Amino acid sequence: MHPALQALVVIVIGVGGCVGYFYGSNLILDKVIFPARGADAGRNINRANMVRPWLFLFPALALLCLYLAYPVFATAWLSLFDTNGDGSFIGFGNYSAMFAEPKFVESLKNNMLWLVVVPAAATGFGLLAAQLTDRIRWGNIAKSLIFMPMAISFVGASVIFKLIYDSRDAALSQIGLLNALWMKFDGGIGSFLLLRVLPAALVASLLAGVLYAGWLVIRPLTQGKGGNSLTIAGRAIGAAVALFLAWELATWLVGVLTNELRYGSPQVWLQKPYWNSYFLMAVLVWIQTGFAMVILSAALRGVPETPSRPRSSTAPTRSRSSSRSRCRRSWAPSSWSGPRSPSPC
Amino acid sequence: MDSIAGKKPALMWAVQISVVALVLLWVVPTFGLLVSSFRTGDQIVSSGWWQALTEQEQQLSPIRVEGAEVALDGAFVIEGRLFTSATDLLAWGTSSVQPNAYAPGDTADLGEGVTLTVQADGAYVLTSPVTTIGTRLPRIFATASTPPEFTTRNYTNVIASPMAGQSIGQAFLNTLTVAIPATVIPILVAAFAAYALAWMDFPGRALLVALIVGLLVVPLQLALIPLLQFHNWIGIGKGYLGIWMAHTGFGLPLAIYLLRNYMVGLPRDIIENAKVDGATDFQIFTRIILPLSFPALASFAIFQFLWVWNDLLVALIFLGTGNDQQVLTGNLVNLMGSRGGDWEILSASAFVSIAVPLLVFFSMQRFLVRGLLAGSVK
Repeated sequence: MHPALQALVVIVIGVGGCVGYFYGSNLILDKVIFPARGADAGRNINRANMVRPWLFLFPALALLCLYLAYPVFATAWLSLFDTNGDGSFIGFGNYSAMFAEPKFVESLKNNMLWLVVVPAAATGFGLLAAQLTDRIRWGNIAKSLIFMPMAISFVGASVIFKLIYDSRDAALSQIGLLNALWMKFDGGIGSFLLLRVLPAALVASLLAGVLYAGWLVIRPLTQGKGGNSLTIAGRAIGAAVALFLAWELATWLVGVLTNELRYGSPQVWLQKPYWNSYFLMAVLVWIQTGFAMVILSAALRGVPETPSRPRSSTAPTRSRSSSRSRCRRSWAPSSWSGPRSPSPC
Repeated sequence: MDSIAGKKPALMWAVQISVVALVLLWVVPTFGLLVSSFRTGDQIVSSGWWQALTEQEQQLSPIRVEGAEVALDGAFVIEGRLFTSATDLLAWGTSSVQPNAYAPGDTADLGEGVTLTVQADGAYVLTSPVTTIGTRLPRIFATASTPPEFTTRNYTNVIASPMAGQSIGQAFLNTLTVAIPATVIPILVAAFAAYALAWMDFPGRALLVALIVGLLVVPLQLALIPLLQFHNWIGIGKGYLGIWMAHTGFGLPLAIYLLRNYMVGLPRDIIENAKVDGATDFQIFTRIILPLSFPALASFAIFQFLWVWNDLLVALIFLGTGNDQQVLTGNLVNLMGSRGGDWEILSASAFVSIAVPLLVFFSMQRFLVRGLLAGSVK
């Protein structure tokens, strides 16, 4: 059978089965097991109402247990066995072998780098985009376009950026956008300004910003106003992240100022040690900035986080301009009003 | 806003320009792919997509002189054309070492009295004192400027004909086959569970909600090996049934969480009135809750659909690699490996695979935003 037809059949069977299950089990409960008539009518209704929630929950709980809860334990259990050899129990042998592998330690470090840099960059760009687009008339269109990569798969994004980072022999014309721009630089004064001074200034100001943000996070602790231990831990982590970012940015600053720039020869961007991670991170930042922008924009305007929460419980709007503009320029205004909360506009 | 604009026009301009720059930065990569997907393969590799509207200077692949030999004034002449399209010859040569040795109209001496003339419009004349039949005729290396050329052939090619063993059209159908049931089933299952968790009283409800929210953090990578073993054990192996179940399982915590949060916010009066009037829970659910929860259902449906459509990992694990099961993302990964240099194929395929998510995204954006703000991100 053709898979599309099969899918159609499955949709019908699956949906019909689900509806049939819910309807039928309710019917059986009310009419057969605990019928609401005869001597025990009242007790039966109560009993049926005690059972009914579990009828509604059963398919979801069964799937959750089988597909999410069970695998957690099964994976943990499987990780203690030697599946390459005779399948015997080897305790933490797999883990020690994993940490002994230099590739694993390297990838763990890379993961940490991604974990710090990508959210920081996406949030930073998202905040910038939210602040800027909230102030202009065509902000909704701009938001929509910046948000668009959220819908693109990682595989699609990798093809898109393959076209950006593509590198070819110097004799051929470059079809990668980045290399085409790169080949425009010839080492003159313009190159010096655009490739040394401008990036250095940007990185230096970013570095200063990160250090200042880290200081803002840690300052209450130095003044003895720590709060509870959870807050202290949060502040410590925040400061550590800021410090790490500052260290990376300082490395960048040195790199930007001292890197030997090979003008006129196309660069293989994704094979440059250290920097290639960042070229790949750029793809993820490109995808996720829109997400940060939408959340931050909503927060800055003081619209409710969830449709279910009434408007009055939200934080007061930050500034006069945002409260005044909320009704008129709220992005996709009809989407904020749930069935109960009428739009104030 | 008007007041800001009125007070500080310079600042407003700075904001406008920054937004334009930001939007360009975010749109240009995708736009480049779109433009490339409509260019011919030759044009894509001969110039960047941003030059798509200008004339292309392009080294043609070598063309061997061929044609009927005519005896003329004691010499043997072959006439022919290098190309028939609206192309302008810029330079030509007869060896790969010096492909630009001659200008259009020049006559090249090929030795032993053989001469070759190539005109700007591509017409060439080979003259030889002895007959050339049975000898190897020279090759012409031409550099030409070709006008911009756009085509939809890339799309018809990738959709209909097999690439890397499978056509994109087939992969498209397979992806649809995965995505639709994997979107519909979790919604249905989750809606009932969410109603029970929101509006039915039973012991342990709060704990159950907490547990389900806790399951949100389980990374699905953790589940792959045990689940595949489980699928093999119950005999469904790799196939559509398995991936539908897997996507349903992975999507449920989010669906239940989203829908329950929404349903809790529905007005209590309506539900209690219905109960007083003798409606059963099943009736309340289907007649009142479901219609009122439409926005939440829609936003989850979009999220789940985008997630399933764009998924590569789950499909790699739970689906086979045959023609009848390979999905778009998997197909694209194969193409990048085997046809990585064929940009016209790659760009058209990639655009086919991202077209549906983009369409869903732009047409249902407000639901997507609402779902996002309700905390729906994997």
